[in-house]
Amino acid sequence: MESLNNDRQETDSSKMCASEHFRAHTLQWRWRRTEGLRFFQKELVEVLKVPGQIPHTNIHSFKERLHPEDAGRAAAALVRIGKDQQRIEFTARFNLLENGYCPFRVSGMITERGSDQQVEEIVGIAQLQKDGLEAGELRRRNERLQRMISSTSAGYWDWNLQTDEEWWSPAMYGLLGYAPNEIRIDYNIWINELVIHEDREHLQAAIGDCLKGQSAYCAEFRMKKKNGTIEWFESRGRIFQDQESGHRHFTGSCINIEAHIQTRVIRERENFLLRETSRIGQIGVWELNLADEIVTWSKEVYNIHGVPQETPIDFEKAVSFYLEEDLSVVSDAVQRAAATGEPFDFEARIRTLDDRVRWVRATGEPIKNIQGLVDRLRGVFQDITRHKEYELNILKANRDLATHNERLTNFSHIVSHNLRTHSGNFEMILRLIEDAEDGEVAGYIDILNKISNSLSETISRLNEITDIQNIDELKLEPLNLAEMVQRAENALLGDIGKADARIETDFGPCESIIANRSYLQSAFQNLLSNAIKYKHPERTPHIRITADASQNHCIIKFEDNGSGIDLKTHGDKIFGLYKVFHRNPDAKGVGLFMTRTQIEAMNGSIEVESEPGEGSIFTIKLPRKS
Amino acid sequence: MNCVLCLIENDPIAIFGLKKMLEKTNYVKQLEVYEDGEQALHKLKPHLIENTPRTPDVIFLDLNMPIMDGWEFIEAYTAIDRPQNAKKILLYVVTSSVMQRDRDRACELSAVTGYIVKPVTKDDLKHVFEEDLQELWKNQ
Repeated sequence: MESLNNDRQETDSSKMCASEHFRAHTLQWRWRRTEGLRFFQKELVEVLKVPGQIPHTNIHSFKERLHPEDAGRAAAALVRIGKDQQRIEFTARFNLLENGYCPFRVSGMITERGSDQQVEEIVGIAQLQKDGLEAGELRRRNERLQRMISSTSAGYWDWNLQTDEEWWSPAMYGLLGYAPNEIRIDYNIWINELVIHEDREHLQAAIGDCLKGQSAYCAEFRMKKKNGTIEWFESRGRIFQDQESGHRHFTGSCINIEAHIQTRVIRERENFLLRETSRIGQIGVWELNLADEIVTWSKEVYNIHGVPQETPIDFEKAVSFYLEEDLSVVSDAVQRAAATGEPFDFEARIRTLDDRVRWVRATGEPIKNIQGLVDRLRGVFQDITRHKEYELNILKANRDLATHNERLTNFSHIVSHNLRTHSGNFEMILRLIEDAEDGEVAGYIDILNKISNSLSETISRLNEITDIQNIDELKLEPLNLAEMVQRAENALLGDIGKADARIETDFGPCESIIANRSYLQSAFQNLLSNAIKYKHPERTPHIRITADASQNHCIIKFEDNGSGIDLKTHGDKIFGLYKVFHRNPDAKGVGLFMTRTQIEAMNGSIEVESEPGEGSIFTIKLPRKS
Repeated sequence: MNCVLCLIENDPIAIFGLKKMLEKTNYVKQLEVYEDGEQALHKLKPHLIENTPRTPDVIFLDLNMPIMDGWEFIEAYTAIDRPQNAKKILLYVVTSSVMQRDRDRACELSAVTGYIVKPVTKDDLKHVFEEDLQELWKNQ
């Protein structure tokens, strides 16, 4: 039975075979009542180059491959053949899987009838309607391909490695600004005249690798366009073997990537800029999720806080770094931003994990979710310590300069006034001498000597003052307070004894003080001497010297029970030069001015409280660190 | 001349010099010297409220003095409530200050007649006693 069937198949095949050409576009089929429908797959694969299978099949699965619109026609034809028709003929589209529906002309004839005239076998061919496929499906495919090609704005090229012929698609010429075939193209012209010199070497290497079969070809390079501009292109290609000729072709595409390169350059520059500014400017980004209060920090923000990267941070933790004095600024800004959506920008101090105090600037603005509700705050965080310290130093320097300047102006007025007093006196006496009688002149010369002496005294005193103000680097050292007071007392031993003055000290926690030895001694001596000189007429002097320390300063007080000063009248002048508030002949108006100048030269300050008839308190404040 | 001059000045040499110059003139019959503003104010006050033989016709006032300087004196002097018939007094600021600021400040004060820069010259004295004072007396 098996061999019989095979024989029959061979016979049937030979029946149906016509020319090679015919074979190429047809496939044979046979239907037997007992076996169902059968196709001959070998031909099908050859003709249609379909890798998939049309299996030996029954009529049912054959119907499944019919195009739905053609199913009725095929069925009608099949019905008729058994009844009144000896032949069958219809056109229908069959699904050839990967190639989609293809039109076939199906024809066949009854080759065997049973004893009861029942149809036992039909044999036929199905002929691919080549025209239909090419005109329809192929055209559509071609158009689709063309659209795709034109939409990519890519150029195509093909280099026949056997003949060395090179072909360019019109778009390929267009990429360089030429009309199709405007210039002659071969490999040498392309690589030597169109590709720019700098890119030739690596391009040739890439092509070489591809031709040796080492890799697919893909290269970026620059070409000169017709108008002389140079732009970036990317080309990809591979080796193909032509089926018909057997020639090797190097074929591929080329696109203009100038814009892409430009954006890449810009992006690289921006990345660089961002990276470097973040690093140099110590700028980072933070974000606060309002729902769970989780805070996200960028690398720089961790660094600024001195906190290891990736440490989990929430709002409470983030705020805990701020100094207590600055805390309200921070929480107010954040709360207002969360509540009203108002952006913020503040400067405050943080204490880092490694216990350094840093000035930071934080900006923040609300970020809305898809529903339009503020659910996060995001901002920039910057370490501005250097700028801030610079700014604060400048402000301080400005204040110091203004004070210094004002003092210098006052000082120059005082100098000029004093010198003028003496020169006026000289002038006056000299004029009197002009009109003098002989006997008087000797007396005038005496007076001129007096004027000269007091002028010298004035000048040497002014020198002392300028000396204090001009020292750039004052030597500061720790000095024992008790010892310094004792030295002042020793220097004034005579005055203290004469006035029967009582001196009491209590230095508490401040045993030593950082100061300049001679300035501090001079200041102590002057204050002590004043307390005795301006004692109350009815009381023996009682002077109390005490010391106390604040966080940054040592505070020394000289309290006396002397005659006091009316500060309502003289308050602003008491430390001024040549200001005298007593008729005491020893008062020169220099002492307190010198004391203040010396204390200020040590970055300290001096103040006075006084009640006429009660006494005075002078308070010296000196920094604890030099 | 029958003139009372009040000199408020703490520099003994300036006092000496002025005295010597006045000796060579006969402008001043009587010279009163005070060494600071407070002393002057205290001692002058009765003679300002009432016209007495010691009430000055002219005051020479130094600016730079202990206790109460010239400016403070002018302030206190202006505040004294003098009667309608009180003697008109010419007040000159006599100072070694050449600063324009001081000169402007002095000239803005209604009590101040003039501003004399030390040393006082014969011409200054002539101007004060032969012109200003004569003018004042003529009008009274």
